[in-house]
Amino acid sequence: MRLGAVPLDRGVIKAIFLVCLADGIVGLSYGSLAAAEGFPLWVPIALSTLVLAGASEFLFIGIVAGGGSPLTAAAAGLLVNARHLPFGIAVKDLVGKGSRSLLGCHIMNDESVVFGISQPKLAQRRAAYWICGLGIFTIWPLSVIGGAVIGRFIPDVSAIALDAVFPAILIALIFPALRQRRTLIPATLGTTLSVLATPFVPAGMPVLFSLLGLLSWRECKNAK
Amino acid sequence: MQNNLIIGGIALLAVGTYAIRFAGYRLGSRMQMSDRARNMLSDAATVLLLAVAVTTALFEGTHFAGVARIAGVLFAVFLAWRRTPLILVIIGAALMTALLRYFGVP
Repeated sequence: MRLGAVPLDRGVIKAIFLVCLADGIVGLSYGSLAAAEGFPLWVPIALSTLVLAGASEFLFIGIVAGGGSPLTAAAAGLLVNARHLPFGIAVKDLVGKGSRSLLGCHIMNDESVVFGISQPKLAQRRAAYWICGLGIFTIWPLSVIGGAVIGRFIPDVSAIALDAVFPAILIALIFPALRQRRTLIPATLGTTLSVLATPFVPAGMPVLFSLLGLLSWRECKNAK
Repeated sequence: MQNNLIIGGIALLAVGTYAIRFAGYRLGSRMQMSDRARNMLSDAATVLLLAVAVTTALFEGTHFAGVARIAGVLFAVFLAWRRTPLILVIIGAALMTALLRYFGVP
């Protein structure tokens, strides 16, 4: 991809950079946590390059460190990652064709999907998806290794408020879509279902419940 | 050490996750879609992302995440509603949450 020809706003590129930076800090924290729990270095390296889905990796490490079976941990992680199936359907045009799509699928995550779908034109959607995806694919394993090597230095993700940053980015990027009634109604309904379900079902499932909100989806309501 | 089991677990998680991503992509590419279905699928991603955002804003695991994080995210929603540039939305959310925590809000 020729960088000079990237059809994106400077603002979008800066935002992608900031998101990668935030992911990098979370990666440092995750790497040092994995090291502190006594995992050898290859565990976080393998997870961060081969799985490349932060929430499920945390869960995997957490369950195994707590004495759970790695296979149970993998199953729990897969449940958290189940939302990538509908994501894949939604971003099929951004992932690309042929051999390129093999990598395009691997870099699919919340951030690359949200940057991709929030751009106005196809060329911009593709560029945002790929730049964000490749950026995270680069910085995530590097920062995880960094964190594991540095070890005891654990950046406190909550003190610098990164836990608020991730939901904020997602909401800000989908906000224009939410201004449409067609999208707003199923999204609100679905999210309400997810929130109600969260205390009662395993991680990953509540988010899938939100798709039930699509039962209220009506095309005509978008005429505005 | 249960190294072999850990390798098995990582392999299962990695292969499974990739299969989920790839299956979605293949499924989407194979379906003959009307404009209506296409619109609905793009909304499906938005619905999922809002659910991810709101549940991670409200909960840490299955417990309430605390006021500071929620206030930061709500401030971000307000800024987004006012059409503030994305960078400022991100910084605003982080500042709001960090300040509240600094002053002892959970």
